[in-house]
Amino acid sequence: MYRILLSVLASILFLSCNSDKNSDPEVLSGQIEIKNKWMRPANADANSAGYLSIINGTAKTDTLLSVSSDAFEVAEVHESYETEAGLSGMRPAKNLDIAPGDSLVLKPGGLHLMLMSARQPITENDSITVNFNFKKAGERTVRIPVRSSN
Amino acid sequence: MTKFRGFVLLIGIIPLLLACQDRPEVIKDLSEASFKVVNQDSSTVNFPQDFKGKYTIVGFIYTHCPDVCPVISAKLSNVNKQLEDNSDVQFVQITFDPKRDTPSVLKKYMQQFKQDKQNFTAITGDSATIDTLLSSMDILAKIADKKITENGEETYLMNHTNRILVMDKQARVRYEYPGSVVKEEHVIDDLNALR
Repeated sequence: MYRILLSVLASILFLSCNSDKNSDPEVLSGQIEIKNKWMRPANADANSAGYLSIINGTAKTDTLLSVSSDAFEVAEVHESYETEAGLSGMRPAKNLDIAPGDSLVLKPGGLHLMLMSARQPITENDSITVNFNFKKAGERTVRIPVRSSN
Repeated sequence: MTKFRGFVLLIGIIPLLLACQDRPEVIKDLSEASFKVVNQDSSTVNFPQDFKGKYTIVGFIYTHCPDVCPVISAKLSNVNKQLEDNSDVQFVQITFDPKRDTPSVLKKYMQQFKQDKQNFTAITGDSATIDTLLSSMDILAKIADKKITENGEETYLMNHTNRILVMDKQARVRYEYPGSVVKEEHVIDDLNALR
């Protein structure tokens, strides 16, 4: 009798756990991973760019909402693009959605971390802390190493 | 006999014509141009007159540009490194932004790319001269996005031509490339074809 009662209770618990998972669309099954990180050196007050890949290992589309770093006055995600006049320009990137299993790749000449006005010189082999704010995954903080510009 | 001479002449001319076909046309002749500007050491230089006698690879940049211009500067450094013989080649970077790119700022920028003084020159100057110089080379640049920093200072980004070009020893432009995209090997191959 005791065994039957125990198995009924276990079944109820198991079902309720499953039901919780299905009813909560915000539960993330995997992780947001940020890798292949590097940035260029910057003299004081100068700008720099950071490059990396964000891999959405969760089951839901996530969106990169903003970035920040204490090492620079302003940090944003920008994209380099060609203007209608054929010039090379830059603008803030919008709609940074990352589908499940997809990656958002920031690389030279395309999307990049736009790091404006370095608070102090940042040289090769240094690293800086950058915070990424995702719509679902929330805040992720990573160190980005500084590589030679060449 | 006259027919034979004509035949010999023709045989002689054909290889010459074929060789000429491989030589790139002059895109822009700056051999008579003269702009008094300053280099990273604040010394006055005359561009392009002071650069005649060597092949000159020119890139156009501004140091507040975080993404495209560093790629151009890195490519110039890489071309220099990858050349088997760079004794007849020099590299020039001309700023779009003379107001902020003072000689000392350019000097620090060059150090970031490990560009040695022997082969590399960065050029700035008064705004009017730089504007005329850039126009003469069909290079465009304009302020695109102004912001005020935490210190209350104005900062801005620029839209600009993305260009690397190769000039021959007479300061004539012979090759032009999309600066941040061209492969270093491509520039080296073209340079070797010019030599």
